[in-house]
Amino acid sequence: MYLFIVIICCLTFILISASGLINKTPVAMLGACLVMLFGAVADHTLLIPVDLNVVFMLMGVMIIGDILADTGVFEWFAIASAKKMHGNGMLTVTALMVIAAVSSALLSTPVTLVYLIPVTILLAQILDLPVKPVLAMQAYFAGLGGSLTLVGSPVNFMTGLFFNISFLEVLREMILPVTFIGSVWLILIWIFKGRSLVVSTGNREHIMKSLPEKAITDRKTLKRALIPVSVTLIVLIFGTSWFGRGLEGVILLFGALVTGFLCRFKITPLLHKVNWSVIMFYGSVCILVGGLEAGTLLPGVGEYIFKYSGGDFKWLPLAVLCGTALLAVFVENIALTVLMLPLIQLIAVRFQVTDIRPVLWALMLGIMLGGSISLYGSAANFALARLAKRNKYKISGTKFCAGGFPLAFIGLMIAAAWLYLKYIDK
Amino acid sequence: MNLATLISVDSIISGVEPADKWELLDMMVDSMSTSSAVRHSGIPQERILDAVVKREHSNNTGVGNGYAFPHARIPGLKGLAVGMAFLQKPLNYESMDQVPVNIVCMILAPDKNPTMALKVMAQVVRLFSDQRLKENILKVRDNRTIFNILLEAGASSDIPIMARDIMNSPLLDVRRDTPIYEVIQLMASKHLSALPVVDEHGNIEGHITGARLFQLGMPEFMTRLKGVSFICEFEPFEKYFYEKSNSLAGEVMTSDFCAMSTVATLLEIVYALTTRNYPMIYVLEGNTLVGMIDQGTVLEQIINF
Repeated sequence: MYLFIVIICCLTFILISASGLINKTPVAMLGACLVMLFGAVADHTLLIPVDLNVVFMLMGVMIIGDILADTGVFEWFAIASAKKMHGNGMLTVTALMVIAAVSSALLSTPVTLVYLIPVTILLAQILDLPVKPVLAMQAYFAGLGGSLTLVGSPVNFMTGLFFNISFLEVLREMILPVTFIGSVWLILIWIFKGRSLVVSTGNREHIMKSLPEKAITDRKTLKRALIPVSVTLIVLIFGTSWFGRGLEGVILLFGALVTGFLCRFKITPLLHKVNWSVIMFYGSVCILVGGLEAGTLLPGVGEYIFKYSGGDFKWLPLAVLCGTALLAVFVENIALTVLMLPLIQLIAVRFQVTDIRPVLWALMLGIMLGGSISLYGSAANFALARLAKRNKYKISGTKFCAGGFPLAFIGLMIAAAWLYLKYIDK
Repeated sequence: MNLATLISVDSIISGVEPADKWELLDMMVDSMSTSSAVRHSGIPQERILDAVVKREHSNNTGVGNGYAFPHARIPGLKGLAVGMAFLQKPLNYESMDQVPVNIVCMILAPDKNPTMALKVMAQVVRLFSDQRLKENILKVRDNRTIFNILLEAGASSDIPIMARDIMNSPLLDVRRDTPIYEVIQLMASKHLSALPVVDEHGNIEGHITGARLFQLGMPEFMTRLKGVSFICEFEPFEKYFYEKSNSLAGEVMTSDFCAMSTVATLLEIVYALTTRNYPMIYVLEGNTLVGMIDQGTVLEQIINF
């Protein structure tokens, strides 16, 4: 009965979040409450999977992102690069995609897209570029850039923190497949979308007459923020050897708070910068998945995978890559990650694997590639759809998926080849 | 405090037919020169007339429905002085509703306590909301009799100021099917910060604010930018306004309006306007819209008295 309730809650949540019709956070919270109320196990045990380190990391990137965004730095990057490219459509869009990717790697994909979308729409309107494809391309690249680092996407930092993987390890492993996928994507976009990105001389003039230096609206705060943010990043990258692993969330939140205080923010406005809805969503999803674990469903699935594969771990990374990519198109990415992590742990134990990391890289790449073409599957894309719709650019979920499918498919091929060459065929 | 105690028989005017409002103001200031507050302060009559005329020039004091409240704050005045004129032949006062006035109440207030003057205004309006009393007093041409009627009415001016005392009428409203360009023209010509949308029974359904109209010309993404000064050549507003120009009031209105009853206190009104940031308060009698109050109304009637 208990497992039945948990499964019903999880399925309802999956269907609702995939439809994008209503806010998924209250649905997840209601589901979590039901699972706890009808729990066959003691309530508090379901709260254990909620990793405070992840919560701190989410808070940290949100606070730092918002402090920086308030200074107008995102607008500056966008307009300055557009001017540098002399308003050339293809080069400007390329610059916007690279900015989205780099910013995502440092500040996470959802945070980046929320602040980059408005200025992207502005630039697309000024240059008379097709707004919806430009936004979609930016979202694909933001997702890709996010998978590059530990803080780049919720998927990565949940995985990294769950399995004690450091920032540097993720960066070192992902830089090759991610930059390769990004380069191929860029070439494909130039070939197939180049014609639609031609800009008239008049519209280029608008960009050439812009004044990027005026985009920075709060120089004082930007100057005050740069040093603590840089130090936080350095500590995140190299600090695991000083502080020990698994403390990235604490480091990031500490850095965010110090940045906030140095920028003369009081604690209440700082906490207002946190999107508590995302935090509550994460917590609720953890409880739902905790319910599945307690209900013995997950161990059962783990056992099934073990038997089906005949105990051969070799091909598991590729199976995880393709499986999660497919699932990520339909299932909310945070939820999918929360579900996959304990399952992978169970599998690692069952397979008696000493190095589970290839599977984790496959998980990160798979969810990123599948999620990047799902409009409602990731928080970042959902924010994109919402903001675009408010500005009369209604992006259809199927068109978004269809448009990104070739990119995701090629990305999957590259990721599979990389995994095969590096870990399977060694 | 009884209203009649603020007025002397000499400061009442009736049975006169001034050529225009300036002549009437001159007559009223002249009649009030014998009031104790003016007499004891020793302020020259010309200075008082100057202040009243200046105030009238800066803002017409014809409040509508046949009433006018010319007033001025006179430094050094020893107390409040009130004069009244009852005009059998209504005078064109250039009031907001263009209705000629027949009851004019002049109030001269000292620097301090301007709300006392507002209470007097409120009391006069409330007193003459009794239509029979109003008709009777307008028939009388003897000042002593008028004074006695006011005395007998026993109106007290020590009453709290309520929404009905300061609300603006006449009322301007639009229907759901009013084209948006008409709404814009109406708001611009009347300098209104908001306009109610009512149904056929006069019940308020929503309102359209100036901010909402600007939003039509301001794309949503722009409100999310931290600044726009870096763009020198781009004005999408015309395009956005054009796209919305065929909208109807019902499509643009919002339902986040503030409605209060006619007996809402001044404190409630100021709280709603300042703390809750409502651009306009709609005063209802039952469900029917009977008046509007905005920050300008409060500033004009209380702070800037």
